[in-house]
Amino acid sequence: MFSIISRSIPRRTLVQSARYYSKKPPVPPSPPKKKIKPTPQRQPETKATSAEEPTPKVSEPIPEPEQPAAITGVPTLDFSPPGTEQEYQRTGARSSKGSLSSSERKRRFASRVSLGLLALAFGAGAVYMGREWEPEELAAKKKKIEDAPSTRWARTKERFTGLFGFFVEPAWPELLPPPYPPPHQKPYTLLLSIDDLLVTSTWDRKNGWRTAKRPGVDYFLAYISQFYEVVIFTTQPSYTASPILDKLDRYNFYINYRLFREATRTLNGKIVKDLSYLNRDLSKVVMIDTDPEHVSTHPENTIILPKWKGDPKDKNLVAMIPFLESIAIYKPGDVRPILQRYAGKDIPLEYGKVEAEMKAKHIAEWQAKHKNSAGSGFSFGALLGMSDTPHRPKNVPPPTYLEQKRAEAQAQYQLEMKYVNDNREELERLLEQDQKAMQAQVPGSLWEAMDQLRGIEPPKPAADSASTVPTAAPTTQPPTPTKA
Amino acid sequence: MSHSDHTRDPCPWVILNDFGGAFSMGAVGGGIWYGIKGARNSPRGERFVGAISSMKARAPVTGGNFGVWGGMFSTFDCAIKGWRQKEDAWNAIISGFMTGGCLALRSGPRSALGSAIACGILLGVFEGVGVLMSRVFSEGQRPQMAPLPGAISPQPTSSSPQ
Repeated sequence: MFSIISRSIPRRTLVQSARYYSKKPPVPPSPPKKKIKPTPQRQPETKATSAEEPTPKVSEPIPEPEQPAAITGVPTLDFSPPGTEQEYQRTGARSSKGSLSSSERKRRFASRVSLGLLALAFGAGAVYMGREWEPEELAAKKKKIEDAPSTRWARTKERFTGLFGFFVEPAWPELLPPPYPPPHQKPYTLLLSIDDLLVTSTWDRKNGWRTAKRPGVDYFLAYISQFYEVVIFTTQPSYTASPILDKLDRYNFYINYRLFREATRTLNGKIVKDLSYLNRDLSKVVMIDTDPEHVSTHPENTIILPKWKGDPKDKNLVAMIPFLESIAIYKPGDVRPILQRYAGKDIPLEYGKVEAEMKAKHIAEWQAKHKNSAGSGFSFGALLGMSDTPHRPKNVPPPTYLEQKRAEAQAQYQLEMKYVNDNREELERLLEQDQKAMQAQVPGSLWEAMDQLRGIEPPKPAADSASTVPTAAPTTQPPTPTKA
Repeated sequence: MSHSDHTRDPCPWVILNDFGGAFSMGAVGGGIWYGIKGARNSPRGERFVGAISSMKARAPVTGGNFGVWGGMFSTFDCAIKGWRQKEDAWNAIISGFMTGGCLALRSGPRSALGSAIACGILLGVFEGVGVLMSRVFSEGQRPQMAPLPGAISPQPTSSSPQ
């Protein structure tokens, strides 16, 4: 084995070097180096194209002007097959380097045409997006023609970013259903955040996430819901926030609506609670939040409270009640100037001062009146910067209008609590029934879910829910999924 | 910075979770895959043994690959969250890009870039589909007007004080 290799290798090198020397004068030294490698590969090729073999032989005698030494000089020792010489001769055959097969050419043509069409379509789309605003478009955007961007480029940009609105804007153009007819709707809406306002969450390695209720949060919700339409507006997704809210408001008495992550808007990469989608008169909306970033579109409607981080002696939430209830009692036409007046201040403290002043004035008034025994109207609202609310002071008892209302509300709160305590079993039963009905509504399989998404109601449960017989629903519904 | 997602652990720890989760996912999935493959490639009568030996040989490797991917992704995700102080879809897209790039780094910058872009696009599609799905299902969360004169009124006390 080794001998063969060792013999054959020197021989080949000898051959190559002999050829090399024979051609040395005309050819620069690099081509022969290149040639050493191709030789073994070329050999089979030349055998296959045996028809062409005569050509080099024929052309050999014709002396090439570049290589006179190779032919006219000493007899060559060139044993290599004649095919290897092909490079040096012109056969008239075209190299395959620059050429393409017809199918390849077709493909390239098709790809170029489609690219061109795509670019054309983009251009046309851009031009079309820059067209003038249409009335229904403006109506959908709730903008007037003067406010909408007026240049062609700005319109294109606006429409193009509008394409991604699905990912950026709240899920519904109107977050809350319309207000109730007058006797049932409370005049003001209170939006509450969850995180670090009503509860706080901590995490440690031993226990994972734990959530703590803020001191007085139950009282706050129960009491303030007498005055306000309480809406929870949180940036958390529903699957984490709903369990917390179910604990805070077990029987669904206090919280009217819940808005989760999908109701928020993304503005410059930040999550914002945009109140312009709320479907409520913003002069009657108060929002309490802990994160100024989340309310950056409507700071004038917002009270920013410091974050509660779990201090068990905290009183800030309950301390907000007098201020909030006074707004609801005096019913100012617009809450925003009031909130702006208190912006950045410690509201409980500042409002406490105002109320104490009012009380002192009231007593002085009452004493003066008692001396003169003459009744005159007096407004406390002026102190708060509110529109004047007529106040009818009672002649004998000193409590102010505010105190009177507050006492009423507290009595009402006591009644409510008593009602809840007395009827706890009944309420629990109703709750359980409700949950069962809800579970029956949840699709049992993927196909049912798809049907629901497409708006196809499963026939039997629909009939049940339409008749709203809560006792019948849980009993009749379980069999239907098994049939279907 | 508040952690909006309370179903997962906060940042440095979530990497461990993700690594373990991805490893087990890969190991279980790889076990099934290589079990079937091993059984099919074995002669009749030796199918069970072939399946087991194939699973033993390959499933942990698949799990490891998945785990490396998941752990790396999570690490990048945490780093990017900490840097940007935002929580949106871009976090996942950027960290997918980085993960894809890092894992393909040994095959040269060109293919690393290609893999990074592919990974970023994939994660972008995931995020988009996630948002889409949450939007579709959020219809169930839409606040509904409660029936007013219903049996269960929102304010029980309006009827209770007798």
